[in-house]
Order: sequence, then structure tokens, then C-alpha cells
Amino acid sequence: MSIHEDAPPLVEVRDLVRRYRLPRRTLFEPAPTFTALHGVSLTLRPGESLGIVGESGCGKSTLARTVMALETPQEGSVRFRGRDLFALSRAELRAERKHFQAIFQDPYGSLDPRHSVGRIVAEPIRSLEPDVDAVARETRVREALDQVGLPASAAEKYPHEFSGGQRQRIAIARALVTRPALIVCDEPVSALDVSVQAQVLNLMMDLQEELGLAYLFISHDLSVVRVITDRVCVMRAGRIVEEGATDAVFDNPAHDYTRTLLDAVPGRRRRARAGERVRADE
Amino acid sequence: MSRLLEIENLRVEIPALTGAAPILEGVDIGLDRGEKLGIVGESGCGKSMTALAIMGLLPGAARATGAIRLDGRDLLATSEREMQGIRGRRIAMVFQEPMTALNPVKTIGAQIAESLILHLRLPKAQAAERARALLDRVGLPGPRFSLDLYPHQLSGGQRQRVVIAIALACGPDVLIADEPTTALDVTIQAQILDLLEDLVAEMGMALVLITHDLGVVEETCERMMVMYAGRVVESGRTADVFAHMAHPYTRGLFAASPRSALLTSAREPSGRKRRLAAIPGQVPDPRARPPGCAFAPRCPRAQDDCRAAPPPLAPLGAPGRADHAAACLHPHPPSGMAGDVAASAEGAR
Repeated sequence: MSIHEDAPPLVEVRDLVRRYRLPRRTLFEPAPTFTALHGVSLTLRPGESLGIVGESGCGKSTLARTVMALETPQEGSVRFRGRDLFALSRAELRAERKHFQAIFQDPYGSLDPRHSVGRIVAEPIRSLEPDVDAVARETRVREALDQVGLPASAAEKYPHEFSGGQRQRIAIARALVTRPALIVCDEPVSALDVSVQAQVLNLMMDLQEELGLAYLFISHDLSVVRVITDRVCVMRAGRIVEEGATDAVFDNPAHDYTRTLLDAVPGRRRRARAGERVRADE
Repeated sequence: MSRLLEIENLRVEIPALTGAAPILEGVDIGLDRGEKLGIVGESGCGKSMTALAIMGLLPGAARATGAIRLDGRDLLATSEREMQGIRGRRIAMVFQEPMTALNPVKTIGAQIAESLILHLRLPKAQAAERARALLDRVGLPGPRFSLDLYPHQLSGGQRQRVVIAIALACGPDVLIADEPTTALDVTIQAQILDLLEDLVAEMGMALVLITHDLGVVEETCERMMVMYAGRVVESGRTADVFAHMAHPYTRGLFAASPRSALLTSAREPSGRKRRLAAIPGQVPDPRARPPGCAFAPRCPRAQDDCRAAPPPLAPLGAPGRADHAAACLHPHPPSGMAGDVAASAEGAR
């Protein structure tokens, strides 16, 4: 396995607080605020897959965006490979970005329909590694397409020529092309059908093993999180309420909220209601 | 005596450049009051088309043949004008997205009262009273949930409750719920399913529950149908289908779902993450379906005869499971289900 227990952490998040200003209700009072993150801390090691699970509005996407320095927190820090992302200059942050990439939920909305797949996949190299020449760029694009199981000829085509699952493969190729250490995945398979979802999840597991990738995997879907993560954080209302090895959390949830979430999953619910324990070895 | 809802050999086609493309073929459904039928499948399998056909809401270019009978009356032969008296009154529908199903500029009270005024010709005051009772019943009690609220003032789960109240307003005989919980958080999803189940039991409606989630069907519906590429590939009592998934697609769908991993550990003894048993390939385009069984190109059990003609939905003939049928020439033989799926998961790697 590629998880190094004693390796220095890849990502260290400390006490993140993110507040949003809401619209003013009256002219005479200060604008109310909404706190999306109430002091969230987590650690991600190289090659590790960490799940963030919770219901809508729990702050999991805000957390993902903050880890990628797309949002600036009011308090707390994000250290990536030991460097505080919010203390870096713009140029330094830009240079760091090639080491962490992202995949999003909507394989339709996240690819520019007017650009060829080759251009879409090459985009992160163009913007984050301007020193790479056209020939090397093309080689890397082909390599990334190959890694996600798409033929080199896919580079000439356009997103609309691909199915949802293939588009998500293109999005993964784009994330891989800068050879990152971390991919932040925000609901990457939620829009896909079950059979295609399984293909994409298997691909992500293969890539993690082959390339030693770390994932920060955001999802509302507990089953998907169980399949793909090594450790999991359960979030509720801007706080992490439970954290631990995925199997341990799912088999022996310590927090009531985790238990509520697990018991609500269809197929498991009836058994839970009938008072029958769902055993891990069933 | 005829059944409440009876669909016979339903075929829906849409015009395409290459001639008419069949979206649905040979769909048969029989449903009585108080029954709950689950229709399962992936996008493009025809499950939503089936619902729209029952509602008489097929897209303009689509052509439906066969029969859809409600208490013996053929809805396909019913004029649009008459359908308007049936839709919402006798057959009602709950859609996936409560945000788009509701009118953002009308109060929830007005939206519930609308069909009461239209179909039952209730006076306004009486309609408002009924609307209040309906909101109470779906778990939105006054005065916290006033009839004067607008959809944007409610959460997703609360909006879905309003949509259910609208669907129930006229006491329909058939309730069609198309992915009613897909857009909702898991704890809310459980509450909405419980509510639907209670209401069906209380009002004696028939429920058609359309979903991609086998788990939802397993715990809500006593009968189920699995659809693939516009055809029913397996049907029967839910308990029978789960005890013996005969069609390779049903089995594939179950094995591919991470849901199966939720019940077991997702790891091999070595600590390596267990891969899901993905079904290779993808659902064929309705304009270019293979001549034989549409699942054959993705099927591990396919043989030459599968590619000749689509197999009919035929009873499996298991004793005591008369309703259990599959459209497959080489169905899985009955055996211990759980072990089988695990074995086919191993084989897929």
C-alpha cells in the first residue's frame, strides 16, 4: 500500500473558520453572518483517500474549496506539503496548484463544449506549467487519456461526443495531467448511473494505487465513501463530528449522527428499524 | 373483474432520421388498489417514459400503441380534454425535483387548492380548509407552515412534502412517484419514503415507484420490474427477485451498486480496496439497439442465440413464485444469492 504512516502529512488543515456575510435585513443593523466552517481540522497523508461525508449544507464543499485555496478562511490554516497556502504569494500559490487538482460532480458542466478534449485536458499544463512545450504537452495529454482508459483519438473529439461516464474520465484525465499528489473530488460520481459509477470508482481506485494519489473525497453518498476511502470524516453543521478509519466508522459508529445517517440508507433502513443489527461480515 | 391499472403491450416510439426509434417495447403492467410496484433501471431504460405514458404526458412527437386501461377505460384512446379530468384527479404524479415541480410565485396553499377547485369544484374557503388538512397530514403542521408560504421559504424535503400534498389533494387511485427522493439528503429520503408508504396504506391507492435505487424498491414495494433499454427484463414479487436475481442485468445492477459494499467490508483481507463489479460498456442508444437482446453486448452469459431476437419476458416456473419472470434465454439458475454476487464480483476483476 502506498500510504506512509510516518510520512509527513500532505495536507494539514487547522481550525478553519469560514463565515459568509448574509444580506442585511435592515440598514441599522450589521449584516448577519452564516458560519459554514466552525474550526475544522484534518490531516491527509500522501497516497491516502480521505472521505468527507455529510448532508447538504454541512460545509463539505466549502471545506473542499478552502483546501484548494479557492476560498479564504477567516481563521485557521491549510498547509500543503508543509507550506501555508494562505501565506504564499500569488505566483507561489500558482506554482503550487499543479500539485493539487479537482474533479466535480457535473461531467456536463465542467467541460467547455467548444474545446476539443485534447485542449481541455491540456489546459492545466498551459496555465500552471507554461514552460512545458507543445510536444511534451501533447505527450502528457496522451498519457493522461491512456491512464483513464480513453484512446489517443479522443483528443480530437468534443465533449458532446462522449457519454456521462466518459466525460467524467476526461475530467479525471485533466486532473491527472499535471501529475498532482492530491485530487479533491466533489461528488464525482453522483450524477452517474450505477453501472457507470462502478466503472469510474474502480478507475479511481486503480489510479490511486498506481500513482500513489491522495484523494479528498466529498460525498453525500455513504456507500460510495465506504468503497473508495481509507479514512472518513463525518460533518454536520460545519463541524467534524466523527473521524476514523472507514471500516471502523461504518461498522461501529461512535456518534449518534453517524448512526442516523447509516440507518437511513435504503436497504439498510428496514433492517435497522426491525432492530436487526447489520453485521460487517454479512 | 378488471384491474385498477392495466398496461398491455405498450410501445412508444419517437421519430428519428433512420425511421421510428422505439423507446418502450412490450411493457405489461397490472396493478390493483393498495399495491406498490417498483420500476428500477438506469437512465434511458424507459422507466420515466412509462410514467409519462400513463399520465398522457408523452412528448408531442412520441407515438404510443398498445393499451393503458384505468378501470377498464383505455387512456390511449381518451381525448386530451378528458385526460385533463383524469390527470391529477385519478392519477397523480410526484416528480424528482420539488424545486422545479412547484410554481415559485404562487403560495403553497394556492398550489394545493388549485386541483381541488379545478377537479372537485370546491369553493375557495373549503379548498383552503382541505389544503390545510393535507399539509398537516404530510407533516407540515400549522401555524409554523402557513398556506401563505412560498416554495423558496421551504427546504428540499419540505417542498417534496408539498408536492406530495398536491398529488394527494383529490384522492387519486394511482400515485406515480418518479425518483421522489433522489434529490434529497439520505435522512430526509427515509422520512419521505415512510410518508409515502403510510399514505398509500391509509388511502388505499396504488403506487408506482420509479427509481434507480434497488434498496428503495426492496424496502418499499412488494412487486418490482427491472427495465433495460425500453423493455422489462425481470419482474416479480420483490422478495422473489431478491432471493433469485435471474436476469444478468438485474444481478449486474445489484453487484455494481456500492450499496452492496455498505453491508460488507469494502476491503480484501490484504487491505486492498475491493473493486466494484462494474458492468462493462453502456446502455445502447435507442436509435441503434442491437437486433437481439439489448443487454447481450454487455452480458457475461450471452451466447449466439441471444443476438438473434429479443427474448420474451417468460415465467421462470419456480414453484410458489408464479409471478417471477425474466426476459433471458440463459438466466442465472436459482442458488444462494449473496454468494453468487460475491463470486461474480470476483470474476469481473
